[in-house]
Amino acid sequence: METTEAGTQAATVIDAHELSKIYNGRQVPVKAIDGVHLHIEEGEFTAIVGPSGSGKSTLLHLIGGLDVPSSGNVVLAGTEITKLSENKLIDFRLHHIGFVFQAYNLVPVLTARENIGFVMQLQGIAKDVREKRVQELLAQVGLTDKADCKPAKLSGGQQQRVAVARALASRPRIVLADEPTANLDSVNAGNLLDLMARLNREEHITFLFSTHDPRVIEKARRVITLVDGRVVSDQHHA
Amino acid sequence: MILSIAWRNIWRNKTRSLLVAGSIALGLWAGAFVMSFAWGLYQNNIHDVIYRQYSHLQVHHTSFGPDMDPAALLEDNPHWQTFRMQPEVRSATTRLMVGGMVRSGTGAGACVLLGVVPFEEAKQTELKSMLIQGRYFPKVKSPQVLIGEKLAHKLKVKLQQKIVVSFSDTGGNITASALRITGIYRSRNTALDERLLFTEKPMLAAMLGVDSNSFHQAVVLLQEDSNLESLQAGLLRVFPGTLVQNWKQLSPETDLIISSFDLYMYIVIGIILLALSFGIVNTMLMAVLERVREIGVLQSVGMNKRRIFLMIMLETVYLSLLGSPVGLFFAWLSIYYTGIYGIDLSKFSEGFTQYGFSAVVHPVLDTSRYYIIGLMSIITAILASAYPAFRALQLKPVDAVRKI
Repeated sequence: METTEAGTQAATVIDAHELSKIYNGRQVPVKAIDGVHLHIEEGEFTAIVGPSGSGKSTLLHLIGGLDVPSSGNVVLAGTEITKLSENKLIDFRLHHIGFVFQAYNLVPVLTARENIGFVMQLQGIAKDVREKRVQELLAQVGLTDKADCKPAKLSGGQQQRVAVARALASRPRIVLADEPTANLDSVNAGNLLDLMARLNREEHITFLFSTHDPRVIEKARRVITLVDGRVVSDQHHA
Repeated sequence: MILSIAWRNIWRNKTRSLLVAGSIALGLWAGAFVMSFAWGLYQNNIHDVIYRQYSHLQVHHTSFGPDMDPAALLEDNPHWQTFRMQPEVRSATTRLMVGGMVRSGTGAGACVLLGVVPFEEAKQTELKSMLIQGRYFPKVKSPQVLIGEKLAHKLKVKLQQKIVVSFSDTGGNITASALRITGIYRSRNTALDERLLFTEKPMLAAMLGVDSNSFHQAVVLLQEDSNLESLQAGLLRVFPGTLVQNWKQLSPETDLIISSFDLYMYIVIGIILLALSFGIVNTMLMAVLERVREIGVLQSVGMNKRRIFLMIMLETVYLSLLGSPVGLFFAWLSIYYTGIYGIDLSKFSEGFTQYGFSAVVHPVLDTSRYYIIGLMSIITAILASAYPAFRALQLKPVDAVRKI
């Protein structure tokens, strides 16, 4: 527990301990993540930075339960996800984690509205509640007028905003974003960051980014630097 | 939502999906049509077996046997007259029947001479309609005979010429008679055409030296095949202690065809569907491998494996549901049309007639078989989707997401 700016006690939502990921290369094993310890409190807005190949994405995948660590463990919101079965892990992701990917990765056959509502439908949320939440999220990301457009009819920035709305639809405690602004121009990247920062403030959702975009780093309140799979610095900004 | 996603997914590549649905349609059309054609062919065969050869029921003396003992005679009785008047009975007649030799000036062969009551026989065996030359038992003074076209060729005889038929009488003595050919018939069974000769019953009775009310064989045609067993039992009560057989017992090979038809045909359909399933597997595997990243993302956001499996399976079932009704509709249409007008196989008729088949086939298929074929197609689609769906389950979300 830590004391936040508001003076309340913040719970640890991400707790990675001695996390390592070793890939078996052709000749020698490659350590993508090497003994990382990470504690992130609820409501943090954190960027993981580092050069290409430093292990940023791998760390996010391990934290999000998309990949399995070679050693160490990950505890998310009090649950040790490294011990969960595959099906329970999928279910955990459904209810607790939102993902935003570099390439948006929306379901191409669904409209913006359906892409956002899809995750809630998987959760079994009632239709009226779902529709209300979708409307609310579309308004939050400023895409009410594009609700019935399929991804192919949306710009990159619009698609990424739909992806953010989708990530938030299930009211997750954690949103993991892997290079979310990498494919966006500066205007769209700025808008997206403002949007995520606002959602972080208003909905108190924990955001963890991997990025090497200076604009994201500038907005982050905490910046963790990875080099060769190791945390080399962990700075809290004002 | 999964239903909707699966439906929309199949339209992502319209050409491919339409090709798969089209191949399903074509396969089912072909399967159903082959089935109807074969059934039409067998229906002809069954018709000939009943209406041109055996009738529904036959009665013989128990000692009549394959040697056709001339002395194994049955006697007419009042119960027989009552039996044949029943509404379930379409027609009935009695015959004398002897095995012997037939010869002309240029050839000879084994034969079976049937002594028939002409006006009753006309209702019983379509013999009258099978005549291709001459007349059906015209009123003549001399003994006459109708022979098959094949036998006429073999003996090198023509209308109005005489042939000599010899056989044993009831006393075991060889007797022979010269009979004038007044008609030549052609049935669809060349084997019978070569062997069966028809003459008038009183004439044959005289040759055999038996009472004209005696007979070797009583034959009965029924209104419906469904009454077969009950009327067979009834006929045994009319002629107690005799051998009463139905056409299935007289022609077990035909009964075997009917009983094994479904099995053979479903094997044929199964082979067609198996071939189709390879195409389905190939297409769906392509569809899955093209969407590795998307499937990974779906897993990342919380779609479990059961749902992913279901989604891929539904896509395949949709393709089948698109193709099957189209294929079955065209099958129905072509079966309906050819069922009315027939398919003339006269170019191959020589081969067909040797086996007793008609050269004109009227394809026919029961409604229930359309449902079964449709169901088989859907089951095939489900089975064919299993491998691509299984492959989709093997994808790890992280590998899929990395393919960015």
